[in-house]
Amino acid sequence: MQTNDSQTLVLCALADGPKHGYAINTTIEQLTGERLGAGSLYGALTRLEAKELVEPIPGQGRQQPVRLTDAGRQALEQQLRTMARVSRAGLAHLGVAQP
Amino acid sequence: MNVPALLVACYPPPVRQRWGEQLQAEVEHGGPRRWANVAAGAAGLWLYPSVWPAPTSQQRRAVLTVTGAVILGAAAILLRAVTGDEPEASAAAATLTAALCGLLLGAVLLCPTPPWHRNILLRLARQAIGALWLPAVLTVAIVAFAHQPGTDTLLANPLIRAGCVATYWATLLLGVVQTCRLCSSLLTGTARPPASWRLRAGVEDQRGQPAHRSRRMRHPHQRFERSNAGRCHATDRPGSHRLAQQHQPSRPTPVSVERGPQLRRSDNTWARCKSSLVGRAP
Repeated sequence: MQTNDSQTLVLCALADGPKHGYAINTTIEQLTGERLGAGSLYGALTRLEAKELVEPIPGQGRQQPVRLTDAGRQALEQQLRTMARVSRAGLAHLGVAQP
Repeated sequence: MNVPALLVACYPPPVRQRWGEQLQAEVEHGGPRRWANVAAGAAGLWLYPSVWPAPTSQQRRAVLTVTGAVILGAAAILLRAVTGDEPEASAAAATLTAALCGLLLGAVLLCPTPPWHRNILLRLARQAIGALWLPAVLTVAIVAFAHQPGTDTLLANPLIRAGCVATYWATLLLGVVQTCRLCSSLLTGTARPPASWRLRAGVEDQRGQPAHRSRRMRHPHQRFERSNAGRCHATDRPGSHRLAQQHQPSRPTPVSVERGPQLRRSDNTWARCKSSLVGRAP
């Protein structure tokens, strides 16, 4: 696992639309079977906002949902493609049939 | 104060303002086994002020000020660690003295300025006392203990000696941490962040370079112009386009200085500040 895994997971959770923090973590739980710690989740959201990969939706009250920016969508796509390539290569080297 | 609220209070104020309620709800939902993760998240964000939410120019300057305070505190502790108990009069000691003077000058330049109003100054004093009373009391206790007769005999005991050394360094560390927290909390309410020139000069000074070098950070073919709205913009010098095309594949875009040339991610100054002071965000 890499240190920016939580950022990738948050980007993945936001891929199908804007969400607030709790909903993001629920989506991550559905994806991985485990919720992120609050420190990891909000640290990742803060860093992603600073990198302008996610942005808040204005005027949504206290929940403050966030959505992917165009740059965030591109970054996620690039990262997922890289991960898929590595995954294919690793499974091939192991001689494991790909799903 | 319950533990989740205490943990959330450990986060930098701009992050608390942005995520506070959601963060606290998530901490309460996660339970005690997630508290270590929350504390680690707070520490990680304190180490990287460059990622704190800062939508306005003033907030960006505040974040950069706190970054300077964090760097200053870390440098002060490192400086104390490398100097022995009895600094010798040598070239190394002179270098250390110069470094200390540079740090102090940087601290003065980066210091937030409160409005000169009685009520605000009283609030400022209350905040300062609240943040710094414990390191101050510990410092007085250490000094009083060191000047007690018979201290040398007590210090012969390795346990007491280790305890004294640990207390000394814990006091230094606590002082630095509380000063950074105080600086951050002041900038979210009571005091104004330093102006751009002071920020630039203070950061340059802490990096050990003369402040006038910051003028070179803008593009060589750009100059600053004041627009009708009173904002200052860096624009291309007349006749420089041909030269710029010869030296660069693409023409530089104008950069708004009002938003802070040292604060925009795409600008050279901000990139240099960020890379040299806080490194790359994880």
